[in-house]
Amino acid sequence: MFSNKVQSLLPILALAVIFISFYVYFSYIVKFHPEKKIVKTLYIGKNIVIALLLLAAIAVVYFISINIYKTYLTVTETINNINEVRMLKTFVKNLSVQRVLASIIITDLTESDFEVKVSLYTLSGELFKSLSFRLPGKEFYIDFTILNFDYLFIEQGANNLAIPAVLFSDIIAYADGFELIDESELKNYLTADNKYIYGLNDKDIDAAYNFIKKAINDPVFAKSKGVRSIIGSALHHSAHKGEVYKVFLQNTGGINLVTEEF
Amino acid sequence: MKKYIWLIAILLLLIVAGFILKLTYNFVIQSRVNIEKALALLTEEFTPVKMKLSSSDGQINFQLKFYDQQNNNIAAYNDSITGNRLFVDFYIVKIEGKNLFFPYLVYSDIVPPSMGKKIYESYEKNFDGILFPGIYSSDNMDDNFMNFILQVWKAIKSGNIDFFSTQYHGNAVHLLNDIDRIDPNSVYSFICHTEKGGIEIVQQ
Repeated sequence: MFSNKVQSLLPILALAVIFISFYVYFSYIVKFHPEKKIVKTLYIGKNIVIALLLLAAIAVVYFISINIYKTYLTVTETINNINEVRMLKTFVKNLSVQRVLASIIITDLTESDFEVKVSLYTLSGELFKSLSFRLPGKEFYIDFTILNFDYLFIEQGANNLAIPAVLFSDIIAYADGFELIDESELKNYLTADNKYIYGLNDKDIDAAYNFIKKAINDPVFAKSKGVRSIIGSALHHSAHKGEVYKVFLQNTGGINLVTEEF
Repeated sequence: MKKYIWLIAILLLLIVAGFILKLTYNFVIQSRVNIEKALALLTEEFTPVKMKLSSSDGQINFQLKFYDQQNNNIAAYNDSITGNRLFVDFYIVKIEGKNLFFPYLVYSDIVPPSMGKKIYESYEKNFDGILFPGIYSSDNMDDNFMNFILQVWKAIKSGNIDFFSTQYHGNAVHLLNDIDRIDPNSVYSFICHTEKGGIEIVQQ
Protein backbone atom coordinates (compact mmCIF):
# COMPACT_ATOMS: atom_id res chain seq x y z
CA MET A 1 0.00 0.00 0.00
CA PHE A 2 2.78 2.43 0.95
CA SER A 3 6.21 2.68 -0.52
CA ASN A 4 9.13 1.48 1.65
CA LYS A 5 10.29 5.03 2.36
CA VAL A 6 6.83 6.13 3.57
CA GLN A 7 6.51 2.97 5.68
CA SER A 8 9.79 3.62 7.48
CA LEU A 9 8.67 7.20 8.23
CA LEU A 10 5.29 6.17 9.70
CA PRO A 11 6.52 5.29 13.26
CA ILE A 12 8.33 8.65 13.49
CA LEU A 13 5.19 10.48 12.26
CA ALA A 14 3.01 8.59 14.76
CA LEU A 15 5.33 9.52 17.68
CA ALA A 16 5.45 13.14 16.50
CA VAL A 17 1.61 13.31 16.44
CA ILE A 18 1.45 11.85 20.01
CA PHE A 19 3.96 14.35 21.46
CA ILE A 20 2.28 17.30 19.71
CA SER A 21 -1.05 16.16 21.24
CA PHE A 22 0.54 16.11 24.75
CA TYR A 23 2.02 19.56 24.25
CA VAL A 24 -1.33 21.08 23.07
CA TYR A 25 -3.30 19.39 25.90
CA PHE A 26 -0.98 20.50 28.78
CA SER A 27 -0.66 24.01 27.31
CA TYR A 28 -4.44 24.26 27.32
CA ILE A 29 -5.03 23.15 30.96
CA VAL A 30 -2.23 25.30 32.35
CA LYS A 31 -3.41 28.38 30.49
CA PHE A 32 -7.23 28.32 30.86
CA HIS A 33 -8.30 26.22 33.94
CA PRO A 34 -8.51 27.50 37.56
CA GLU A 35 -6.19 25.65 40.00
CA LYS A 36 -8.98 23.58 41.67
CA LYS A 37 -9.98 22.06 38.39
CA ILE A 38 -6.44 21.15 37.44
CA VAL A 39 -6.30 18.09 39.67
CA LYS A 40 -9.46 16.63 38.15
CA THR A 41 -8.34 17.58 34.70
CA LEU A 42 -4.90 16.09 35.37
CA TYR A 43 -6.59 12.86 36.51
CA ILE A 44 -8.54 12.69 33.23
CA GLY A 45 -5.40 13.79 31.46
CA LYS A 46 -3.43 10.98 33.13
CA ASN A 47 -5.85 8.40 31.74
CA ILE A 48 -5.71 10.00 28.34
CA VAL A 49 -1.90 9.98 28.50
CA ILE A 50 -1.91 6.30 29.46
CA ALA A 51 -4.30 5.53 26.60
CA LEU A 52 -2.21 7.54 24.18
CA LEU A 53 0.99 5.87 25.39
CA LEU A 54 -0.69 2.50 24.94
CA LEU A 55 -1.73 3.44 21.41
CA ALA A 56 1.78 4.69 20.70
CA ALA A 57 3.24 1.44 22.04
CA ILE A 58 0.85 -0.58 19.85
CA ALA A 59 1.79 1.56 16.85
CA VAL A 60 5.50 1.16 17.53
CA VAL A 61 5.15 -2.62 18.03
CA TYR A 62 3.09 -2.80 14.82
CA PHE A 63 5.68 -1.00 12.76
CA ILE A 64 8.56 -2.95 14.31
CA SER A 65 6.68 -6.21 13.50
CA ILE A 66 6.19 -5.12 9.89
CA ASN A 67 9.87 -4.30 9.53
CA ILE A 68 10.92 -7.59 11.17
CA TYR A 69 8.62 -9.49 8.77
CA LYS A 70 10.02 -7.62 5.77
CA THR A 71 13.57 -8.37 6.93
CA TYR A 72 12.60 -12.02 7.32
CA LEU A 73 11.24 -12.09 3.75
CA THR A 74 14.40 -10.48 2.38
CA VAL A 75 16.65 -12.90 4.26
CA THR A 76 14.56 -15.92 3.14
CA GLU A 77 14.65 -14.74 -0.49
CA THR A 78 18.41 -14.26 -0.31
CA ILE A 79 18.89 -17.75 1.15
CA ASN A 80 16.63 -19.22 -1.56
CA ASN A 81 18.58 -17.39 -4.25
CA ILE A 82 21.87 -18.66 -2.87
CA ASN A 83 20.48 -22.22 -2.76
CA GLU A 84 19.09 -21.90 -6.30
CA VAL A 85 22.42 -20.74 -7.69
CA ARG A 86 24.29 -23.37 -5.65
CA MET A 87 22.05 -26.15 -7.01
CA LEU A 88 22.34 -24.89 -10.56
CA LYS A 89 26.10 -24.63 -10.23
CA THR A 90 26.26 -28.24 -9.04
CA PHE A 91 23.86 -29.25 -11.83
CA VAL A 92 25.92 -27.77 -14.62
CA LYS A 93 29.29 -28.47 -12.99
CA ASN A 94 28.70 -32.19 -13.12
CA LEU A 95 28.26 -32.16 -16.88
CA SER A 96 31.32 -32.78 -19.01
CA VAL A 97 33.05 -29.80 -20.62
CA GLN A 98 32.29 -30.73 -24.25
CA ARG A 99 29.14 -32.73 -24.85
CA VAL A 100 27.44 -34.28 -27.86
CA LEU A 101 23.90 -32.92 -27.98
CA ALA A 102 22.65 -34.58 -31.14
CA SER A 103 23.69 -36.63 -34.13
CA ILE A 104 22.08 -36.25 -37.53
CA ILE A 105 22.20 -38.88 -40.28
CA ILE A 106 20.86 -38.33 -43.78
CA THR A 107 19.23 -41.66 -44.59
CA ASP A 108 17.70 -40.73 -47.96
CA LEU A 109 18.18 -37.91 -50.43
CA THR A 110 16.22 -37.05 -53.60
CA GLU A 111 16.14 -34.03 -55.92
CA SER A 112 13.42 -32.35 -53.88
CA ASP A 113 13.62 -33.70 -50.31
CA PHE A 114 15.61 -35.75 -47.82
CA GLU A 115 15.06 -38.06 -44.87
CA VAL A 116 16.91 -37.35 -41.68
CA LYS A 117 17.35 -39.36 -38.47
CA VAL A 118 17.95 -37.18 -35.44
CA SER A 119 19.28 -38.72 -32.21
CA LEU A 120 19.13 -36.53 -29.11
CA TYR A 121 21.43 -37.12 -26.18
CA THR A 122 20.88 -36.27 -22.54
CA LEU A 123 23.13 -33.85 -20.72
CA SER A 124 25.50 -36.63 -19.68
CA GLY A 125 25.67 -38.08 -23.20
CA GLU A 126 23.15 -40.96 -23.09
CA LEU A 127 20.68 -41.44 -25.93
CA PHE A 128 17.39 -39.71 -25.03
CA LYS A 129 15.37 -40.40 -28.16
CA SER A 130 15.66 -40.88 -31.93
CA LEU A 131 13.30 -39.38 -34.49
CA SER A 132 13.00 -39.60 -38.28
CA PHE A 133 11.65 -36.88 -40.54
CA ARG A 134 11.26 -36.27 -44.26
CA LEU A 135 11.83 -32.63 -45.16
CA PRO A 136 11.58 -30.81 -48.49
CA GLY A 137 14.77 -28.98 -49.48
CA LYS A 138 18.49 -29.61 -49.60
CA GLU A 139 19.69 -28.40 -46.22
CA PHE A 140 18.72 -29.33 -42.64
CA TYR A 141 18.49 -26.80 -39.78
CA ILE A 142 18.55 -27.97 -36.15
CA ASP A 143 17.70 -25.30 -33.60
CA PHE A 144 18.76 -25.25 -29.92
CA THR A 145 17.92 -22.98 -27.01
CA ILE A 146 21.18 -22.00 -25.34
CA LEU A 147 21.84 -20.57 -21.89
CA ASN A 148 25.28 -18.99 -21.68
CA PHE A 149 26.40 -18.33 -18.14
CA ASP A 150 28.55 -15.42 -17.02
CA TYR A 151 32.27 -15.90 -17.57
CA LEU A 152 32.81 -15.75 -13.80
CA PHE A 153 30.36 -18.61 -13.40
CA ILE A 154 32.17 -20.62 -16.10
CA GLU A 155 35.59 -19.90 -14.57
CA GLN A 156 34.25 -21.55 -11.43
CA GLY A 157 33.61 -24.71 -13.44
CA ALA A 158 30.04 -24.30 -14.68
CA ASN A 159 28.92 -25.24 -18.22
CA ASN A 160 26.55 -23.65 -20.66
CA LEU A 161 23.26 -25.43 -21.33
CA ALA A 162 21.64 -26.25 -24.68
CA ILE A 163 18.19 -27.73 -25.21
CA PRO A 164 17.03 -29.11 -28.61
CA ALA A 165 14.13 -27.08 -29.99
CA VAL A 166 13.08 -27.24 -33.68
CA LEU A 167 14.08 -29.04 -36.89
CA PHE A 168 13.42 -27.25 -40.18
CA SER A 169 14.91 -26.92 -43.66
CA ASP A 170 15.90 -24.34 -46.27
CA ILE A 171 12.36 -24.62 -47.70
CA ILE A 172 10.39 -25.11 -44.45
CA ALA A 173 10.33 -22.06 -42.17
CA TYR A 174 11.15 -22.30 -38.46
CA ALA A 175 7.49 -21.74 -37.52
CA ASP A 176 6.46 -24.74 -39.66
CA GLY A 177 9.27 -26.98 -38.40
CA PHE A 178 9.14 -30.02 -36.11
CA GLU A 179 9.40 -29.54 -32.37
CA LEU A 180 12.14 -31.86 -31.06
CA ILE A 181 11.34 -31.68 -27.34
CA ASP A 182 7.98 -30.41 -26.13
CA GLU A 183 7.13 -28.79 -22.80
CA SER A 184 6.14 -32.10 -21.16
CA GLU A 185 9.43 -33.77 -22.20
CA LEU A 186 11.69 -30.94 -21.10
CA LYS A 187 11.87 -31.99 -17.45
CA ASN A 188 12.54 -35.61 -18.44
CA TYR A 189 15.28 -34.43 -20.78
CA LEU A 190 16.98 -32.32 -18.12
CA THR A 191 16.65 -34.91 -15.39
CA ALA A 192 16.86 -38.16 -17.37
CA ASP A 193 20.32 -38.94 -16.11
CA ASN A 194 20.27 -37.41 -12.65
CA LYS A 195 22.02 -40.50 -11.34
CA TYR A 196 25.13 -39.04 -12.93
CA ILE A 197 24.60 -35.63 -11.43
CA TYR A 198 26.14 -36.15 -8.05
CA GLY A 199 25.39 -34.03 -5.04
CA LEU A 200 21.77 -33.24 -5.90
CA ASN A 201 18.60 -34.94 -4.74
CA ASP A 202 15.25 -34.98 -6.62
CA LYS A 203 14.13 -31.78 -4.91
CA ASP A 204 17.30 -30.00 -6.00
CA ILE A 205 16.86 -31.27 -9.56
CA ASP A 206 13.29 -29.90 -9.53
CA ALA A 207 14.58 -26.54 -8.35
CA ALA A 208 17.24 -26.50 -11.08
CA TYR A 209 14.60 -27.41 -13.68
CA ASN A 210 12.30 -24.62 -12.46
CA PHE A 211 15.20 -22.20 -12.56
CA ILE A 212 16.05 -23.14 -16.17
CA LYS A 213 12.41 -22.90 -17.26
CA LYS A 214 11.99 -19.50 -15.65
CA ALA A 215 15.29 -18.27 -17.09
CA ILE A 216 14.18 -19.25 -20.62
CA ASN A 217 10.88 -17.38 -20.30
CA ASP A 218 12.12 -14.37 -18.35
CA PRO A 219 15.35 -12.78 -19.65
CA VAL A 220 15.40 -10.16 -16.86
CA PHE A 221 15.28 -12.90 -14.19
CA ALA A 222 17.94 -14.86 -16.10
CA LYS A 223 20.31 -11.90 -16.26
CA SER A 224 19.92 -11.25 -12.53
CA LYS A 225 20.94 -14.88 -11.84
CA GLY A 226 24.18 -14.90 -13.83
CA VAL A 227 22.91 -16.01 -17.25
CA ARG A 228 24.84 -13.85 -19.73
CA SER A 229 22.62 -14.59 -22.73
CA ILE A 230 19.76 -16.85 -23.83
CA ILE A 231 19.50 -17.34 -27.55
CA GLY A 232 18.32 -19.69 -30.25
CA SER A 233 21.00 -21.21 -32.45
CA ALA A 234 20.01 -23.07 -35.63
CA LEU A 235 22.95 -25.08 -36.97
CA HIS A 236 22.70 -26.16 -40.57
CA HIS A 237 24.45 -28.05 -43.31
CA SER A 238 23.65 -29.25 -46.81
CA ALA A 239 22.32 -32.81 -46.75
CA HIS A 240 24.68 -35.50 -48.07
CA LYS A 241 23.39 -39.06 -48.05
CA GLY A 242 25.02 -41.32 -45.45
CA GLU A 243 26.95 -38.50 -43.80
CA VAL A 244 26.86 -38.15 -40.00
CA TYR A 245 26.82 -34.72 -38.36
CA LYS A 246 27.29 -34.17 -34.65
CA VAL A 247 26.30 -31.16 -32.57
CA PHE A 248 28.69 -30.29 -29.73
CA LEU A 249 28.19 -27.90 -26.85
CA GLN A 250 31.33 -26.03 -25.91
CA ASN A 251 31.93 -24.77 -22.40
CA THR A 252 32.54 -21.18 -23.46
CA GLY A 253 31.30 -20.30 -26.89
CA GLY A 254 27.99 -21.91 -27.74
CA ILE A 255 27.45 -24.92 -29.99
CA ASN A 256 28.90 -26.14 -33.26
CA LEU A 257 28.31 -28.77 -35.89
CA VAL A 258 30.99 -31.22 -36.93
CA THR A 259 30.86 -33.55 -39.92
CA GLU A 260 32.05 -36.94 -38.73
CA GLU A 261 35.00 -38.18 -40.69
CA PHE A 262 35.55 -41.87 -41.24
CA MET B 1 72.46 -13.41 -91.76
CA LYS B 2 70.61 -16.68 -91.15
CA LYS B 3 72.88 -17.25 -88.16
CA TYR B 4 71.68 -13.96 -86.63
CA ILE B 5 67.98 -14.75 -87.24
CA TRP B 6 68.29 -17.89 -85.17
CA LEU B 7 70.04 -15.94 -82.47
CA ILE B 8 67.25 -13.31 -82.40
CA ALA B 9 64.62 -16.06 -82.36
CA ILE B 10 66.30 -17.74 -79.39
CA LEU B 11 66.59 -14.38 -77.65
CA LEU B 12 62.88 -13.67 -78.21
CA LEU B 13 61.98 -17.12 -76.93
CA LEU B 14 64.07 -16.51 -73.82
CA ILE B 15 62.31 -13.19 -73.21
CA VAL B 16 58.85 -14.81 -73.60
CA ALA B 17 59.86 -17.70 -71.33
CA GLY B 18 61.15 -15.23 -68.72
CA PHE B 19 57.92 -13.26 -68.88
CA ILE B 20 55.83 -16.44 -68.44
CA LEU B 21 58.06 -17.54 -65.54
CA LYS B 22 57.68 -14.16 -63.85
CA LEU B 23 53.86 -14.33 -64.19
CA THR B 24 53.79 -17.89 -62.83
CA TYR B 25 56.09 -16.91 -59.97
CA ASN B 26 53.82 -13.99 -59.00
CA PHE B 27 50.76 -16.26 -59.14
CA VAL B 28 52.43 -18.94 -57.00
CA ILE B 29 53.67 -16.40 -54.47
CA GLN B 30 50.21 -14.80 -54.23
CA SER B 31 48.33 -18.08 -53.85
CA ARG B 32 50.85 -19.60 -51.44
CA VAL B 33 49.45 -18.65 -48.07
CA ASN B 34 51.08 -19.29 -44.76
CA ILE B 35 47.91 -20.42 -42.98
CA GLU B 36 49.45 -20.60 -39.49
CA LYS B 37 50.80 -17.07 -39.81
CA ALA B 38 47.42 -15.83 -41.04
CA LEU B 39 45.48 -17.60 -38.27
CA ALA B 40 47.78 -16.09 -35.65
CA LEU B 41 46.34 -12.66 -36.50
CA LEU B 42 42.81 -13.70 -35.52
CA THR B 43 41.52 -12.54 -32.15
CA GLU B 44 39.95 -14.99 -29.69
CA GLU B 45 36.56 -13.33 -30.03
CA PHE B 46 35.21 -10.43 -32.06
CA THR B 47 31.92 -8.71 -32.90
CA PRO B 48 31.42 -8.42 -36.66
CA VAL B 49 27.81 -7.26 -36.44
CA LYS B 50 25.42 -5.42 -34.09
CA MET B 51 21.65 -5.26 -34.43
CA LYS B 52 18.66 -3.10 -33.51
CA LEU B 53 15.07 -4.31 -33.98
CA SER B 54 11.64 -2.72 -34.08
CA SER B 55 8.26 -3.74 -35.46
CA SER B 56 5.47 -2.26 -37.57
CA ASP B 57 2.48 -3.86 -39.32
CA GLY B 58 3.64 -7.45 -38.73
CA GLN B 59 7.09 -6.63 -40.09
CA ILE B 60 10.44 -6.81 -38.33
CA ASN B 61 12.45 -3.68 -39.05
CA PHE B 62 16.12 -4.45 -38.57
CA GLN B 63 19.26 -2.36 -38.59
CA LEU B 64 22.56 -4.20 -38.91
CA LYS B 65 25.91 -2.49 -38.45
CA PHE B 66 29.12 -4.24 -39.44
CA TYR B 67 32.47 -3.79 -37.67
CA ASP B 68 36.06 -4.58 -38.59
CA GLN B 69 38.59 -6.33 -36.36
CA GLN B 70 39.33 -3.05 -34.56
CA ASN B 71 35.67 -2.44 -33.82
CA ASN B 72 35.29 0.36 -36.39
CA ASN B 73 31.89 0.61 -38.06
CA ILE B 74 32.43 -0.18 -41.74
CA ALA B 75 28.94 -0.73 -43.18
CA ALA B 76 25.22 -0.87 -42.42
CA TYR B 77 22.22 -2.76 -43.76
CA ASN B 78 18.65 -1.66 -42.97
CA ASP B 79 15.59 -3.57 -44.14
CA SER B 80 12.38 -5.25 -42.98
CA ILE B 81 10.97 -8.78 -43.19
CA THR B 82 7.68 -10.49 -42.29
CA GLY B 83 7.70 -12.42 -39.00
CA ASN B 84 8.18 -12.36 -35.23
CA ARG B 85 11.80 -13.46 -34.82
CA LEU B 86 14.81 -12.48 -36.89
CA PHE B 87 17.46 -15.06 -37.78
CA VAL B 88 20.96 -13.84 -38.67
CA ASP B 89 22.76 -16.63 -40.46
CA PHE B 90 26.55 -17.03 -40.42
CA TYR B 91 28.86 -19.22 -42.49
CA ILE B 92 31.45 -20.79 -40.20
CA VAL B 93 34.57 -22.35 -41.69
CA LYS B 94 36.96 -24.26 -39.45
CA ILE B 95 40.59 -24.26 -40.51
CA GLU B 96 43.33 -25.80 -38.39
CA GLY B 97 41.34 -25.48 -35.18
CA LYS B 98 40.19 -21.89 -35.72
CA ASN B 99 36.84 -20.68 -36.99
CA LEU B 100 36.10 -17.93 -39.49
CA PHE B 101 32.66 -16.27 -39.40
CA PHE B 102 30.81 -14.62 -42.28
CA PRO B 103 27.28 -13.24 -41.73
CA TYR B 104 25.54 -13.82 -45.05
CA LEU B 105 21.75 -14.19 -44.75
CA VAL B 106 18.76 -12.83 -42.83
CA TYR B 107 15.36 -14.50 -42.58
CA SER B 108 12.60 -14.99 -40.01
CA ASP B 109 10.50 -17.60 -38.25
CA ILE B 110 7.95 -17.27 -41.08
CA VAL B 111 10.26 -16.67 -44.03
CA PRO B 112 12.33 -19.80 -44.82
CA PRO B 113 16.10 -19.54 -45.43
CA SER B 114 15.69 -20.06 -49.19
CA MET B 115 13.72 -16.79 -49.33
CA GLY B 116 16.03 -14.87 -46.99
CA LYS B 117 17.87 -11.63 -47.71
CA LYS B 118 21.57 -11.81 -48.56
CA ILE B 119 23.64 -9.40 -46.49
CA TYR B 120 27.24 -10.36 -47.22
CA GLU B 121 27.74 -7.93 -50.08
CA SER B 122 27.00 -4.99 -47.79
CA TYR B 123 30.27 -5.39 -45.87
CA GLU B 124 32.48 -6.14 -48.87
CA LYS B 125 35.23 -3.54 -49.21
CA ASN B 126 37.12 -2.68 -52.35
CA PHE B 127 40.90 -2.84 -51.76
CA ASP B 128 42.57 -1.85 -55.06
CA GLY B 129 39.98 -3.71 -57.10
CA ILE B 130 39.85 -6.72 -54.75
CA LEU B 131 36.55 -7.31 -52.95
CA PHE B 132 37.45 -8.16 -49.37
CA PRO B 133 35.11 -8.97 -46.44
CA GLY B 134 35.54 -5.79 -44.37
CA ILE B 135 34.77 -7.54 -41.07
CA TYR B 136 38.26 -9.09 -41.27
CA SER B 137 40.11 -5.90 -42.13
CA SER B 138 42.47 -4.28 -39.65
CA ASP B 139 45.49 -1.97 -39.64
CA ASN B 140 47.89 -4.82 -38.88
CA MET B 141 46.74 -7.24 -41.60
CA ASP B 142 49.41 -8.18 -44.14
CA ASP B 143 49.24 -9.55 -47.70
CA ASN B 144 49.41 -13.13 -46.40
CA PHE B 145 46.37 -12.64 -44.13
CA MET B 146 44.48 -10.84 -46.90
CA ASN B 147 45.12 -13.62 -49.42
CA PHE B 148 44.09 -16.25 -46.90
CA ILE B 149 40.76 -14.56 -46.08
CA LEU B 150 40.18 -13.87 -49.79
CA GLN B 151 40.54 -17.54 -50.69
CA VAL B 152 37.93 -18.56 -48.12
CA TRP B 153 35.68 -15.67 -49.12
CA LYS B 154 35.82 -16.58 -52.83
CA ALA B 155 35.06 -20.23 -52.00
CA ILE B 156 31.98 -19.23 -49.99
CA LYS B 157 30.69 -16.85 -52.64
CA SER B 158 31.14 -19.36 -55.44
CA GLY B 159 29.43 -22.10 -53.42
CA ASN B 160 32.59 -24.26 -53.55
CA ILE B 161 33.43 -24.26 -49.87
CA ASP B 162 33.22 -28.09 -49.95
CA PHE B 163 36.44 -28.15 -51.94
CA PHE B 164 38.17 -25.79 -49.52
CA SER B 165 37.34 -27.32 -46.16
CA THR B 166 35.18 -30.20 -45.02
CA GLN B 167 34.64 -28.55 -41.64
CA TYR B 168 32.12 -25.84 -42.34
CA HIS B 169 28.53 -25.25 -41.36
CA GLY B 170 25.97 -22.51 -40.89
CA ASN B 171 24.64 -21.08 -37.65
CA ALA B 172 21.49 -18.94 -37.69
CA VAL B 173 21.25 -17.21 -34.33
CA HIS B 174 18.12 -15.51 -33.03
CA LEU B 175 16.57 -13.99 -29.92
CA LEU B 176 13.96 -16.07 -28.12
CA ASN B 177 11.59 -13.17 -27.52
CA ASP B 178 9.07 -12.22 -30.18
CA ILE B 179 9.54 -8.82 -31.76
CA ASP B 180 6.73 -7.17 -29.73
CA ARG B 181 8.69 -7.93 -26.51
CA ILE B 182 11.91 -6.37 -27.74
CA ASP B 183 12.93 -2.85 -26.75
CA PRO B 184 13.54 -0.91 -30.01
CA ASN B 185 16.36 1.01 -28.31
CA SER B 186 18.31 -2.10 -27.33
CA VAL B 187 21.49 -2.94 -29.22
CA TYR B 188 22.46 -6.61 -29.58
CA SER B 189 26.04 -7.67 -30.29
CA PHE B 190 26.89 -10.90 -32.10
CA ILE B 191 30.02 -12.20 -30.40
CA CYS B 192 31.92 -14.80 -32.41
CA HIS B 193 34.30 -17.20 -30.64
CA THR B 194 37.19 -18.00 -32.97
CA GLU B 195 38.51 -20.92 -30.91
CA LYS B 196 35.21 -22.63 -30.08
CA GLY B 197 33.15 -21.78 -33.15
CA GLY B 198 30.10 -20.55 -31.26
CA ILE B 199 28.14 -17.31 -31.63
CA GLU B 200 26.36 -15.44 -28.85
CA ILE B 201 23.95 -12.53 -28.87
CA VAL B 202 24.58 -10.20 -25.95
CA GLN B 203 22.44 -7.15 -25.17
CA GLN B 204 24.60 -4.07 -24.62
